[in-house]
Amino acid sequence: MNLQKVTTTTICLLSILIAGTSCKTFVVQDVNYAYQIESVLTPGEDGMVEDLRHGISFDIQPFLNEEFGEDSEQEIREVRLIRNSKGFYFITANQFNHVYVMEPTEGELKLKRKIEVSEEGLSSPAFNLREALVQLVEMDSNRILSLNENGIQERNEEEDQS
Amino acid sequence: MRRLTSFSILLVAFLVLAVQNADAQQSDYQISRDFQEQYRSLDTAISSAISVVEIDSLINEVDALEEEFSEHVTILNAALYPNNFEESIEDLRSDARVAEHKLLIIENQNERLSSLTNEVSSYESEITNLNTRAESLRQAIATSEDSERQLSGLVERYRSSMEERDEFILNMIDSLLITYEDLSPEAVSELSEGAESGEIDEQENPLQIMNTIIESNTQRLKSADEALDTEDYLRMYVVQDRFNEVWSQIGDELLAIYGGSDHANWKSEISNNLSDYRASASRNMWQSLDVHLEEQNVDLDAFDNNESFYNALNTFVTTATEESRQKMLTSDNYEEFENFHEFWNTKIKNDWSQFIQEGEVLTMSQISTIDNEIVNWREEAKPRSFLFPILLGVSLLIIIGLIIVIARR
Repeated sequence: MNLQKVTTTTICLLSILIAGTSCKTFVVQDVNYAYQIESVLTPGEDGMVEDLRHGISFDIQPFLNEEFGEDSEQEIREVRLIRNSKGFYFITANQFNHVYVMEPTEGELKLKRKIEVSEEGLSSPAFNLREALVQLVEMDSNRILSLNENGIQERNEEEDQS
Repeated sequence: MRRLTSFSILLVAFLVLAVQNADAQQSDYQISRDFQEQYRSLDTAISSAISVVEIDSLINEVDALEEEFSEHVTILNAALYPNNFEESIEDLRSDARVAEHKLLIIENQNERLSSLTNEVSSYESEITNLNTRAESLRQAIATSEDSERQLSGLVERYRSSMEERDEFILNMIDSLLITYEDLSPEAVSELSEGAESGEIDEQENPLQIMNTIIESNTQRLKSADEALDTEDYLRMYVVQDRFNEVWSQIGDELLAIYGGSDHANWKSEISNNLSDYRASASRNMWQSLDVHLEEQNVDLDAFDNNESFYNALNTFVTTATEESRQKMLTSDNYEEFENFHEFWNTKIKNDWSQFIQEGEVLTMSQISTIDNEIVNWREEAKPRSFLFPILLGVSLLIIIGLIIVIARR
């Protein structure tokens, strides 16, 4: 009886081991998703922006709702988009107070972090990629903020908004 | 002291501004856009440049663009993908070189066109002078009440003036032929672009000048001109023949270069005028030749072209040869022979020889055949000597008489 139990247990363990070995995940390390240069996109009448070069399109309206409120009719002319090496999208626009760090998932962009970068709205923002960091440059004031998916890196961490 | 303080404040403010400016932040995207805008602007300027000087200046601007943006090569390589910064600049330089080469050719062609136009313009002016001179002499002859000797001098000057004019026209069309024959299609196309760009005015257009000469010559041929003789009409026929020949060789090129939007009209007008010119020159020349032969008492069958003229001559000579053979005892045929021989050798083979051959009034082969016929005619027409047969007969009679006398003894 004991022998039968031991045999059954052994067979089960071997089956699990074999199944586990066959399902081992194939992973490629050190992938760099970064855009070397930001994309400046113009929303269509339906609110969609499309980055043909990098093959991504999304609706800008959720960002406007998030930034200006559901009832706002604020319109923007250009959306600025850049992706860092880890694959997070950084999105902002004129009049935005925030940079949105978005994580791509299946058919979605999921908010990773909402970084407050201005109290009065950005007037002329631009993204530059500098190694692992994304720089937010305000052309009017020459102010530079270095960002990653966790927030502002070269200013007080307190200013970061989650 | 106060001045010094103010100056110091200004200097500090300037330095602060300068430092701030030096630290001005740039957007990578803006850098790529600035580059691409300047690039497009230069590309457009190169495409639309109209002179080599302009292209040379643009090539310098390409160098300046490369220098200005060379520090951003990494950003631009990313922005310009799948092209890159170096290739983009090289593309511009290559476009500039191609445009420069094309403009050099066009400028050379324009210079050539200008030179051709000046040449044609000088022809036009010279022909006008010659026409004026010939016309005033013709008018002078028509209205002259001078003595026959003075009138003869006027006629001689008029004929000389016409000869000079025809010679000039022949030289002009030969010069046109040398200039325009064997032009490559590219050269025709480039000269055509130059001509269409308005650099040729109507009076300098070779088509216009050719057409004017054709019309003027036809008009002259159509108006009865008693001052001219057969040699003049032969020369005018040769000029016409050469005109037709040159038109068939370079007409298409001239139409392509100078015809512009009126290409079809020019072609139709000049072709019709050339036909009219040919008919008039031909009619006058053959009629004049016929009259001259009649004056020389050489009565040929009717002729109005090369073939019928040759046939008439051949028939005349062979018939005369046959008649001479039958009338060997008379000297009338020999006078007729000498009459024709004089015309043949003096006029056809000497005075008019150049025009007879150039206008193909008679070919060398036809002349040679008639020459042989004339040799036969001479043999048949030459008066025979009967002295020897008479002496022989007398001698025979004497011998027979002597034999009879001896036999009777």
